[in-house]
Order: sequence, then structure tokens, then C-alpha cells
Amino acid sequence: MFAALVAAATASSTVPPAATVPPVAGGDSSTEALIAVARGASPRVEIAGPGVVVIDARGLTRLFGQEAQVAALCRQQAADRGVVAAVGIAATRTAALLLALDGAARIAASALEASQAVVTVPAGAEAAALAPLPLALVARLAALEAPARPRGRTADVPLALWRRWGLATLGALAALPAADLFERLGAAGLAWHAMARGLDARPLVPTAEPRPFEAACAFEWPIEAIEPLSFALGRVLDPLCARLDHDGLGTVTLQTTLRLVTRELYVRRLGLPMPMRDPKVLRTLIVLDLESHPPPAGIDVLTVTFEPVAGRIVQPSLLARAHPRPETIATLTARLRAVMGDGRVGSPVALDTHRGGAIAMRPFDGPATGLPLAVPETPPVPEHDAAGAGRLTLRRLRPPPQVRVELARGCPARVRSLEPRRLPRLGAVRQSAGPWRSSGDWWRPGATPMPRAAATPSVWQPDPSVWSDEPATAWDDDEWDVVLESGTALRLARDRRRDAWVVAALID
Amino acid sequence: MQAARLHIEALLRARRLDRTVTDAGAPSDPVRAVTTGLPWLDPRLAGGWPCGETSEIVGPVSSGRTSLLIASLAAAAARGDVAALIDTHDTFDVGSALAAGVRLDHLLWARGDPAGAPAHVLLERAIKAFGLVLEAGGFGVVALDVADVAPADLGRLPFTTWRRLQRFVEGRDTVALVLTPAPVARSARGVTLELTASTATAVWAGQSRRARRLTGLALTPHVRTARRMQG
Repeated sequence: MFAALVAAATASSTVPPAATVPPVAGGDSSTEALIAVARGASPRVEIAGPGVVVIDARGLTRLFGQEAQVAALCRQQAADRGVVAAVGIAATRTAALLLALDGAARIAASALEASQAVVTVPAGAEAAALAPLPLALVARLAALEAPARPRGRTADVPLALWRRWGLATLGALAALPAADLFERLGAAGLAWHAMARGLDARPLVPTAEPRPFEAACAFEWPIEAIEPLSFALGRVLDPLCARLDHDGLGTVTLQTTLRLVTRELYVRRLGLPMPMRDPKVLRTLIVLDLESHPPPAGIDVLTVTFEPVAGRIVQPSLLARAHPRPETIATLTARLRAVMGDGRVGSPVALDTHRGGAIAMRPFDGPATGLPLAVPETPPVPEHDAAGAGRLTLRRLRPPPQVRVELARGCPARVRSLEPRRLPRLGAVRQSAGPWRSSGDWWRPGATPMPRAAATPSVWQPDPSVWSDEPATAWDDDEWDVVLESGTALRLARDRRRDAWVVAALID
Repeated sequence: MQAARLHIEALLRARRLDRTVTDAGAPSDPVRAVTTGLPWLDPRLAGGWPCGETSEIVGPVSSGRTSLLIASLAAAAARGDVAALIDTHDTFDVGSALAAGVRLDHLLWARGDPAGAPAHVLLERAIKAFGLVLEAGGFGVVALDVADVAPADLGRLPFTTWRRLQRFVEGRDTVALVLTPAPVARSARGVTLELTASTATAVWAGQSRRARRLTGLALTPHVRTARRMQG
């Protein structure tokens, strides 16, 4: 025995093909109300479409009385929630749905009182009860069933075809011989024929009740350290991750809520680069995060919440090079951040600027997994590589150390370090090339305007922001490449605004 | 005497503590080598950097050591490998790396903070980070840049440090590279590439004084290995 509940407003509207996908909880309010009514009556509930719910009503008569009473109770509870619904009860799911759809359509057309929209059909009388109903109901039912139908098996028969054949009711369609229908229309014709007779093409498929992916653990004694907390985390995360695994899901955020002995809530939220469900990885990430940001007091209750999304499906390739797994990268970068500091681990990013040494970082996610990597074009090898020379490679000094430069005929002749701890040995210049002028960012609002020329030399303290990852100030430098007598090659930069020299980089 | 020697060798072999005196670890096994990124240098290293071993690039400032390191990272990117650079003193230059062909999205960069910690703390953190990356596995090249660390500070590290790090990389398709001012870290079947700096290493282009520019450094490598190159 099945009971179908159809919201009247939804039934009156034309259901577009895209709307035939079963909604998730939290979508349409009338659907949510019907789901609540259905779940109050039976644990086996199928959401057949927007505003359409089917209940497995077997055994409900022992709880609520006769079928008519069950149907009336469902309609009344829906009305209490503000939804005008039609209810159909029949021995087959299809018959119940067709009866409820018909009732909802008649309510919407004001051809039926809402209180009368309850139809109960005894077992074996489905065909007779469905016979006078309009054929358009089967078209609506076929649209509702389309998502659950196996791929390639369509039940799409144009309604106009039946009308051309002179058919208007389900009874007329049911009276046609099935074999002839199959010859003319194939499997789709048979599917319509079965629906018109109230036969089920598939059983009821209960829609799983959404459960929040959240677990908590209360402690008898407050936990003060992270290490014992990691054991509790294991107990909390293992069942949650097992559920994710069972449902084919992963989580993209990890929220750890700690209720402290001070009655305050301490919340840490971690974003993951991609869906994960390995409890060891998730525990490591939470522990590392809490070690970096420890709670201010002892912990009374631990709660972990996941935000589930579809699981990541990866097809490893025999041809592509194996890379670290995303879980490994996430754990590794978290550990590295704990060692090197926040903002010191990631992938370098080249900025769109001519400022020397300007850099930015982004999180390191690794290359795309499972796909063959496109090998980039190798830069042309300079001719002198054949003789053993490499390219001009710099080692940036951040922040750049100050030096004093003596000039001879406009060229650097001797370099003295003003920071001997960083640059102990400099000296006479043997060869030099330059200057190359470089300036920029003077157009940015808030940037330091460039004076025309520095009138007098002054001791200049290097502006750390000039060499930071996100430079925002103007620069105006002359750069020289010099080789000292010791063989050390340097890139010197003279700030034209202040007439001060720094070692921008070592050439190595 | 012979029995004692055999006993010691057996112990070394059993605990996999040495592969130069004994034949522990089957030294006859072929070592897979990957290119350094400088084709003229690979034949001198019997194919390139040995995988599963710790190799060193040793040299003073302006010897071309960083150029070689960047070339190796670029070669890893060309192979489709993921690389990691532990940059103890935050000296990595993105422009140089891009020009050499390093794929930045394939590079994990861990930067030290020289302004925020004393030298020995920087070194400890870098060593720890190096170990973490090697232990994680899956990287084609993992480089530790301690070129700006004083040799005395490197010498104060416990003797077991480099052996422990070598254990992480053994048997894997990973090249562990250490850029250092003095030889300290090479594993038994690894390579030490010593470079020297002089005014002659600078390569200039341009005829006139105004057109002259520094285009690179000529590398003068001296290769040191334990046994692999001797055959």
C-alpha cells in the first residue's frame, strides 16, 4: 500500500523538464512540508519530485486506522503546515501517484474542494479507478519518473499522438493491446500502457534522510593539551569519515568547535583544497592547526563538523607521472607552515611588474592529478651553455643590504659593506656593466611621489615594503652588474631618489 | 683480524649503515639518474643526479651553484615532476626561475625568515622542513638551500642528521639536493659537485663598454663520488 502526497500549487503548474529532478531537502518549502508530514508517518519516504512525495504505507492502518483515515490525517497535517495537498492511496505506487496528481490538478482548477482531495482505492481496483482520469497525467508522471529511469530507456511519447489516435483517458489507453503498442511505439508505448493500468515499473526507493555530518565528544575532565585531544579526535572523526565513505562524499571544510571550561566556544575552521575523507589526514590537519592556534583554556566538549560534497573520483593513469596525493600535500604544507611560519609555504607567483624581486605566493595544491602533464617548452639554451656557463641567476637579498659605492668615471669602482654580518667581503670592482634604469608604481594612488633628483646624499634605510611580496611604493633605481676582484658578482641598485646604494642580489 | 672485519661488515650490512666499505645495499644495482638540466654536465655525472640519494652542490658565491640548482628544478618541471625548495635564507628569485623554465605551479617553496630568527634556528627549521618533504615522498627533486649558512654552523649539526635524511629518500625516485658552502651531506652513492668562483667565471656579452652586459657564469665543476664513478 502506498500513499502519494502532491502539493496542489505544484501540480497546477507545468513541470519543466529541469524541474523533474528530485529536490534536495531545503529546496521548495511545500516539498519540505510534505516531507515532514511523510516522515512523521513512515520511515520509507520517496521524494518523487517538487511537491510530490510517496509513502510506503504498509502497516500504517494498525497505527492510524483505515486507509481513508490515514489519507485524511496526512492531508490534514499538510494543511496544518500551510500546504494544500491531494492524497491518493492505492496498492501500487503508480496508481497512488496518478490519483494524487489528478486530485491536485482538480484542486488547482477549483473543480474540487481541498477537503475532498483524498482518494483511496482498494487493491485490485486500480485500473477501474484510473480509467476516467485524463491521459495528460501519465505525461506528468513520465516526466517525474524520467530521472530514475535507466539511461537510454525513454518513455517519451508525444501526448498529441494519443490524441490523434482518439485517446483521452487512461482507460482508453489501458484497453489497447500491449503487443500492438509495443510494435508501434516500442518500450515507451509499453511503459505508458503499464502506467495507465496503474502498474509499477519500479519499487519505491526511499530517499535517505539527511543527517548532519557532525560528531561531538564530552570529556569528564577538561583536556589541557593537544596530544590527548588527538585521541579524542580519532574517536570523533572515524565514524564521520566512515559515513562519508559510505555515501561517496568528501568534506571541503573542517570546523572544530571547542567548548572551553570558561563556557566560551573556540571555533577553528579549515578549508581543504579538495574533498577529503581520510580520518588520519583530517586529524593531523586539525591537530596542526590547534598547535599553531591553541585554545586559551581547557576543553570540555569537542565537536567536529564536516561540509560534505561529492567525493573526488580519480582515475590514476599508467602513463602520467605519479605525484603526491592531495591529502599528502595538505598534510605536508600544514606541517611546513607549523615549522616555517604562516605565509612562508606555497608556490611562488610572478607579479606583473618590472620591480626586481617582486614576488607573491599562493597555496601549493600540486599539479592536476591523474592527467598527463603537458611538458612546457624548454627555454632555448644559450650558446654559452655549451661552454659550461649557466644562465644569469640571481639570489635575492631580502631586505637588500646597504653598501657604500665609490665611483670612478661614473662607474662603480669599490664596494664597501655597511652590514658586514650579511656581506662580509666586498672590495674593488674588476668589471661592471650598467646602468639600467628601472622605475615604476609612481602612478599608483598613495605611492610615494618621485622627486626629480636627490640634492644631497643621505643615509637611506631600505624600505622593507619595496622588497616585500606586495610592493606598493614607487621605485626609481639605476642597476649595475659588477664583478669584484674576489670573483663575487653582484647586482647593485642605486635609489635615485635618495642616492643610496644597496646590493639587490647576488649573481650566482 | 679477518673474522673481526667480516663481523663488522656484517653488522654494517645488516643495519644498512654503510655502502662504501661494504657491499650492503647491493651497490651493483643500477642507479637511476636524472638530468641536471645542463646537458654537457650529465655525462660527467654518469647521467645526472642519482635518484634515491643525497647529492650536493658546493661552492662559494658566484660560482654558478644557484644556476645549477635552478636548472635542475627546471629539468624536473620538464619531466613533469613536482619539485620542492627549502629556501633557508629566502633568496629564491622568481624571475630567474621563470627564465630557466621552472614551472612555478610545480614548485613547493618553503621560505625561511632570516629577519625573524637567528641563524641556528633558521638552519634547524630548514633541516626539519627538508626532512618533512622527503618523508612525504612523491617529489622529483627536493632541494635544500643552505648556501648562506656558515660552514661552522653546518658542522655543529649532529652527525646523524644527514644519515637520517638519507633514509627518507632511499629507494625512491627522488633526488635530494643540498646547496651548501662546504661538503657535509652527500650520501654514499650521491654526488658532490664542487664549483669555484673567479673573475674568469663571468661571461660578458657586447663589444663596446655601453653595450656590455653580464650574461651568465661559466661553471667549473669538479665531481666527487664514492664508488659509482670509479667503475
